Amino acid sequence: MSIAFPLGLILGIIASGKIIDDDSHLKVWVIVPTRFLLALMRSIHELVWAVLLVAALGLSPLAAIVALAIPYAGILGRIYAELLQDTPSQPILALKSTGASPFKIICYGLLPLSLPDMLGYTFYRFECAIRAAAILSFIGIQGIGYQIQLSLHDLLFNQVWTLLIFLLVLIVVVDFWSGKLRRSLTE
Amino acid sequence: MIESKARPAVSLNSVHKRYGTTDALIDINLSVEPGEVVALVGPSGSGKTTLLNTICGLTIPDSGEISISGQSLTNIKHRKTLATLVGIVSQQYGLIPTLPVVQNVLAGKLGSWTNLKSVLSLIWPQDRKQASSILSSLGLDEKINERTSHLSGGEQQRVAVARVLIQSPDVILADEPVASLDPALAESVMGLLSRITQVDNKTLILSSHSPYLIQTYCSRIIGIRQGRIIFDMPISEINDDIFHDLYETNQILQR
Ligand SMILES: Nc1ncnc2c1ncn2[C@@H]1O[C@H](COP(=O)(O)OP(=O)(O)O)[C@@H](O)[C@H]1O
Ligand SMILES: [Mg+2]
Repeated sequence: MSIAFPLGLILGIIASGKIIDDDSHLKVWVIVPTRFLLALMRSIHELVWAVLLVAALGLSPLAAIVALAIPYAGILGRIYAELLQDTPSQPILALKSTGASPFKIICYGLLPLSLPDMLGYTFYRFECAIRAAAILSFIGIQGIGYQIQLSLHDLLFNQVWTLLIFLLVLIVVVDFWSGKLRRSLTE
Repeated sequence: MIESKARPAVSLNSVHKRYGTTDALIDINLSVEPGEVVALVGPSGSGKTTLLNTICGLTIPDSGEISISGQSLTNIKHRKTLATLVGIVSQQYGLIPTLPVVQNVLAGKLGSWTNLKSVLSLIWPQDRKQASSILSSLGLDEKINERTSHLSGGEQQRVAVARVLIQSPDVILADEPVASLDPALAESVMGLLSRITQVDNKTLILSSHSPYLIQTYCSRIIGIRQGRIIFDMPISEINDDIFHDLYETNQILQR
């Protein structure tokens, strides 16, 4: 997720087309390929990416991380692009007229306008990623799913329960954290 | 000084702007000298907002030429150069509701700040003293740390005025800058704008519907109706009939 979030954000900002001037002919040439890239990233399921990456990188945790990061960045990028496109254009025009560069427009306009919505969605996706990570390790990559599988094989049900409860706690914590952050942004 | 006298602060040469089938601006020719305080008057939909937005480059005209201090808008390649020449308080304010007031005011500095300084300022507001002194001249010093969306319409309008004042361009455009203010506040904000224009040798073009404020604070008045300039005269020549006709005829045409 820590890879997927910034990657999705950058691609999402580009794909939204909000920082490129309307009259610029760059527009089509940048936005369309970015959208295509995002579509490609998310059209392949994380399990498939995992199988491909295990073939390339072996059964390392890195394979799992990259396998999750690619489709999640694709999904986040797409949603971010949509949230950014829904931001009102008046404040962005006003920032342009103060002479703000595209980077400053992102910091002072696009992000403050859409951050609360973005965070909510990102945390939801974070939850999904935790579950997906457990599943991924069933194909043999190190991770919590792998531990559960080992315990199951050995009929150590106490351990299985502990691990499942740990997963639950993890998700509840993420949920709590997301609620807190969002409230502090929108109070 | 002689040089700046020689070329107008703002000049428009047969500017046209069309939206679909409506002509928002028709053959606008206009020249404003440095130091003038110009009022644009006209009924709603007459083209005041479109005219102000084309002067600052937010709206691109279909044809015609616009120059600020002798430089054609089409030749000004960088936004930050343009921002030193002209700035606008727009009718919808254009503030970022989720940011504190101080950040919305300091946004007027984004053209001159480096990227690093801009990002730092989101955490530790830079030039806070200047922002706070401008806000207090607008009666808003207590709201400096308030989230902008918590402010009333009139307070937000003054934040937008504060932003253009801290940007401090040579030509200040203001689209109905006192429309949401009560009469006393409206008068003090108009007074402040016209005073700053004189003291700092700037140029001010504003739109307003208030004959009293215009006659008190402006030096020249331009009447627009259906995208055309109907009259353009020194404030001393204006009388109630001319005002009345501008708004009245329009209603007859619409019927
Ligand atoms: N973005 C736009 N799209 C379509 N029509 C517009 C747009 N902006 C302005 N107009 C039209 O142009 C005319 C002038 O509008 P405007 O400049 O906002 O007038 P004013 O500010 O004097 O009320 C109106 O008829 C309005 O409907
Ligand atoms: Mg208007």
